[in-house]
Amino acid sequence: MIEAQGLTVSLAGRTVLQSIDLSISAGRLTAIAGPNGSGKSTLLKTLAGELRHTGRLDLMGEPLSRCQPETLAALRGVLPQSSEVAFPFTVADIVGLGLETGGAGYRSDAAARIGAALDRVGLSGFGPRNYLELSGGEQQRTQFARVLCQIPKAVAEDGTPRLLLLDEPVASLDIRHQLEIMSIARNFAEEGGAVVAVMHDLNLTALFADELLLMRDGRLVVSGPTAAVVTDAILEKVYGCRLRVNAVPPAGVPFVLAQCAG
Amino acid sequence: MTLANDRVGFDREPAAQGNAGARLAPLVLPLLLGISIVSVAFSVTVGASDASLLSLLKAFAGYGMEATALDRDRIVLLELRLPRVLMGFLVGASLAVSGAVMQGLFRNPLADPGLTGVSSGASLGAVVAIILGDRLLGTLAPALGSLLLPLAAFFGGLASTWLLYRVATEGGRTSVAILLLSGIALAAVTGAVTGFLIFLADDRQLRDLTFWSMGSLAATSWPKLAAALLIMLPGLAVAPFLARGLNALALGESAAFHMGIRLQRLKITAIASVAAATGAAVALSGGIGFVGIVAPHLIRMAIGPDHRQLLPAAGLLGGALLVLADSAARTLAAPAELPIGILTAAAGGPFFLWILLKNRARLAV
Repeated sequence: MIEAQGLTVSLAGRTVLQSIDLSISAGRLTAIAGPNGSGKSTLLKTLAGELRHTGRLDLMGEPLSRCQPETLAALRGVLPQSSEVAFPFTVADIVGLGLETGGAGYRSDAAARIGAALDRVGLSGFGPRNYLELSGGEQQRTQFARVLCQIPKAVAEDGTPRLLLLDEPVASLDIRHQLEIMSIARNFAEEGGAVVAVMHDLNLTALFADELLLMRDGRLVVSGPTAAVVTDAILEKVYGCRLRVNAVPPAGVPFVLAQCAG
Repeated sequence: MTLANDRVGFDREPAAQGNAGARLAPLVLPLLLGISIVSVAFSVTVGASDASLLSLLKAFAGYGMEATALDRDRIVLLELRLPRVLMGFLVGASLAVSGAVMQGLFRNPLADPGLTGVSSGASLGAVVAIILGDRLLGTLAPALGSLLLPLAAFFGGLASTWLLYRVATEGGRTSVAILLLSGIALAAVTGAVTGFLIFLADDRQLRDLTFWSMGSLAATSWPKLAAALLIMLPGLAVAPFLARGLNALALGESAAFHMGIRLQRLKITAIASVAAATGAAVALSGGIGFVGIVAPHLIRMAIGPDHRQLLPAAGLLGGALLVLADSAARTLAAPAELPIGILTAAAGGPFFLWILLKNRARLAV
């Protein structure tokens, strides 16, 4: 789905991503984790096609920088970390914006699609509400519903997989909605799509992610299956603090516990 | 920082949320179209001369007849008032649509061609045409006739917008903050140049300039209207095609790009549209302010911020508002005439302050 080699990004003369090699596969949920300022969000923005880069970055075998915005919009959806909406749009208006992307234009079943997307993120009946008056978590789920309207299926009718890029999708959600949103992402991957999510919560990551990319100082430190990456030694090296990984029953999912210094 | 703390705290009370606004939306365009037609018809019949709606119909029916009274009414209505009222409508619509497009582009309900320097540039173009037109163009100036002023204002608006764009754009992306601040700088520079030109002007030019800068629709004629349409209509015609992009842009430049919007094309088209519509409007009517803020804001309160409805609805409302303001300007001190800019400023100024106070929390950021 995505192949990168020697991917380097500079912003205002400072190198924020340094020669990153990665491969993102369809059917997998890939998490990006790392300390604050390690370049996670920058990497996600680069994968979304927002930032100029050097090195190779291909989406479905095409150089990403050569794809037009509307082509990209049909292939991948992006959930931003936070969204400031400039006017008092309704929730249904915001979600409906996702329907119009990729040249899809007006759809006669728009209301039904918007309603279904809101149902999936647990916002049934929120359509007429003013977006600006929602809580942070509700706004985030509204944006997720918009992304689901833009990319409704994990695999398109012609069999090509679709991609979701999620920047801290559960950052301001309560625990129930964290699980619900991660389950939607998980299902998207299981249905054959690719999901890349920037994550802070390592335990949620261990629970849902197939692959984990750990970043530090703009470099990709480790990547691999989540269970293999989430170890005491690797995490302590990346985060620079003492952490203890246990396995929790029944499935033996890794569980990260912070240790007091000293 | 949590997402909750980032929430935008403005424009909370509009009735747009909820089903009321959504149900209203399909009715608003026909309603505004009706209001526009009625206000144009009404405005044609009021003024210093007592020509009535009936005589307007007679004038249409009896075009070319020789009866003296009818002929007088025909001239008053068809040669003086009708072009003036239509011009007023088009100027109001242009300013309102330009305002709505600017607000969408800058993601700010207070943005306006005036704030970004487009009006300053257009004014400077018009002032240059008034004072230096004869000297610069020689015999070409009279040949251009009615087209000279709108054309000069259009190029002035476009030049200032182009300059702003060069200043505010880096690496293919535009910073809205820099654009707005550049607008302030540009307004200062054009103000200085205008002042210098006024210093050069003779008495007749000075009178022309003063009257023009107060805002007036008085000296309208069919040739002027036709000349303005050549520049105004293309600007207005592209506006509906901007609606989807401006809706997406409300979620931010990144989100709009994610949804497949070509940002640079959207911005350039929006700016050109605004330069054309505003330039023609400024050239013809001088300093008519606040229509670009008031009309879009009222529409947003009634039916919400969706640009697909907002742009045409604001255009109709802006046109109707300016036509009614012009009727008042012609009748309040009849047979003398108030400059229309005084009326729109008197009504629009407090309205602007009210929006400012409502959005204080956001502007303090």
